[in-house]
Amino acid sequence: MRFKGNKIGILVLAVILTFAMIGCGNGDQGTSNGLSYEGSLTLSGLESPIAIAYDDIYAMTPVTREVKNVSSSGEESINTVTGVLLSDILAANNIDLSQYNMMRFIAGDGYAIDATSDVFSDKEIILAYEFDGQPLDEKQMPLRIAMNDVRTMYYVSNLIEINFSKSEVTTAESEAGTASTDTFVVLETAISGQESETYTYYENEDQAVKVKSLLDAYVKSPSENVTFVATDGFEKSETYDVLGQGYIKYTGEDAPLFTAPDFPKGMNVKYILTLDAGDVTFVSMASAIESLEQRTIEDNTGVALDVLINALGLEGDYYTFTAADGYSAEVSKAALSQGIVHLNNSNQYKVKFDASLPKASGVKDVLTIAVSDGANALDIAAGENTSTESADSSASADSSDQTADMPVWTITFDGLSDGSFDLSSEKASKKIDRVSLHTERKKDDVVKPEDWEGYKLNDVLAFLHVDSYNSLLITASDGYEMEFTPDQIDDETILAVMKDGSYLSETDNRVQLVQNTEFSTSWVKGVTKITVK
Amino acid sequence: MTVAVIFSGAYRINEKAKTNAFESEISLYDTLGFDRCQSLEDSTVLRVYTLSEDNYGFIVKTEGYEGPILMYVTMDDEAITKVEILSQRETEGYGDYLIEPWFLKRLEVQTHLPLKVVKIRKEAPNEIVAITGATITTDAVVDGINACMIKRRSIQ
Repeated sequence: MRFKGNKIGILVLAVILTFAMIGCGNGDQGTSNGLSYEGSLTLSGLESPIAIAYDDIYAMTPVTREVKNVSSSGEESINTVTGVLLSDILAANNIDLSQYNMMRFIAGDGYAIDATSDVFSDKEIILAYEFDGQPLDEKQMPLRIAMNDVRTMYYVSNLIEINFSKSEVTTAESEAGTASTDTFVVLETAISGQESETYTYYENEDQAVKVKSLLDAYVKSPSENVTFVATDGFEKSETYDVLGQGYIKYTGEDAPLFTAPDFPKGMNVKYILTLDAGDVTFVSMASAIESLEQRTIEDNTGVALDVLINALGLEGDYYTFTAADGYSAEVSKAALSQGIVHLNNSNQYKVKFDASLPKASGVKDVLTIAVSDGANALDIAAGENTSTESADSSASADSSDQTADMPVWTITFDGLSDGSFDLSSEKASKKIDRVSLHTERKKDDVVKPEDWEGYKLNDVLAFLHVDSYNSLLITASDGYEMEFTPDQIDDETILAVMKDGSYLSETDNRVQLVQNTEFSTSWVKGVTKITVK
Repeated sequence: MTVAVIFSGAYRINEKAKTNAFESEISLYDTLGFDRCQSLEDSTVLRVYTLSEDNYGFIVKTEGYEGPILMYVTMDDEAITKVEILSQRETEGYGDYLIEPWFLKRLEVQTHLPLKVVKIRKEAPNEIVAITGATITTDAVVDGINACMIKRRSIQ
């Protein structure tokens, strides 16, 4: 009896379910394929936005296609998808897709991906509601983008909006994978000047900087859309606003990585090579060295400079490399094949050339690479000596050559805003111009004319970014000290390293503070330390 | 109306099936012979064991991104001493990192305060940095542990 009751119950249930399903299929909200989803897909960026009910999309003539996508790790997947062609929807609404060169697919959770015309122009874009014969799961509903032979990142689930735009990024630029700017900023050097934060990425604690601080520091004319290019050639565009919300994680796995804790994982960009952000394009030297052709110069291996410049799409006859401290060197295009950018022992990226170029053409801690006019090209000056400007540069190169037998010395500067700094003879010779000073001091009523060469103390202070001070305490190797107020330090106060054509070579006096004074009472032999107060 | 009742019933059956699915995992712990504090158990904290003086074990069920997560959590008076994931089906490549030793170790903290999920870095003992790209899963795990912490306080 009980068994019979259960059978009747099952029969009643089946009848109810059948009627319920028929009701769904024929009701106002239902569709012929049985799908229904509340709400509508927004098409924005048009003259006026259009909202199309998902149920109306489900009711359109479906297509079924086999599509291939490639994940960020290179894994290929092939799916059979069923849905509606975006072109059908656009045609029904009199929208001409050829008027736009970018589409942004936006998901309900905030994930968004831009597809440029080179991605979609020759492809069917399917708003799919079925993958491999299965309906989308709840989180992927109501629609998921599908295209053949694209990255998985374009397969946006939970699609709520498609934004159409006429991007500033041209197809040509995008195809070349190069930037539209003439100045590149070395990402790692730029980052070193920013406040770094600990960023937990899976199991590791890495270091990251806020992208906004980088943009604020370097980008003067931002573009509406920015473009990342990764070392594997992968390109991704993003809005400037979204870019500013993220971080660049520059240590550890996947670095340099664009990410943010609130971004869907698909918005991350791993192994960034370049980031075109408007008037400035950032380039990761770590990525360049890793992914481009390398060259070795004097046991230093780095990215071949000509290959790098070519990869960046920089075109010019001359290039200027500028360091973070402002030092710069200009070389001709021909010199690039003799150069590299490598990571030196100080963990800085350095532009280095072989012995055919003046030593002064090397630039440590390189910050920018730019096309220039050749006015100060060091290799032209050294090799051809054809102009007034190059003659000046030649002097610089000669001065560099003089360093061969230069005694080695170091002066420690204390009391700087960022601590202390050791100014070495090598650094001074590269970074600071040497000047001449003629003095005629009296000793025992006898005038002693002397010709000195050295570095203006004011130039050294400027190099160290000392804008103001109360006094300078000069300490000699024997412990002797003398304090100077700012008014006692003039442009004829030098740290002399040569006297009458010869280097100061005594062990305890390789640098002498000299002033153009009648008496030498303020001069200090064997300067080893200068304390800024 | 009838359809709603039927689906409601189906939901209850489904929930019961889920609980039943965990019975084998739970029964393993029941056979270990620890005292149970059944008065503290509910539909979230399924088991409360006294492992030793001031040392407690909990089996807790919490709702992850893709479905229920079953965990075994041990605590003493000072700290969360161990977290094991007994069952989960979080998204591959996202939430399924919750079974990784580095994440489970991240949960072993010394605190009396409820755990709190943070996104970038930990700055307080009770803060747990979310699994990258899987905040909802991390929230679920932390919610489960917090439910156990409330039970622990009830024992004290």
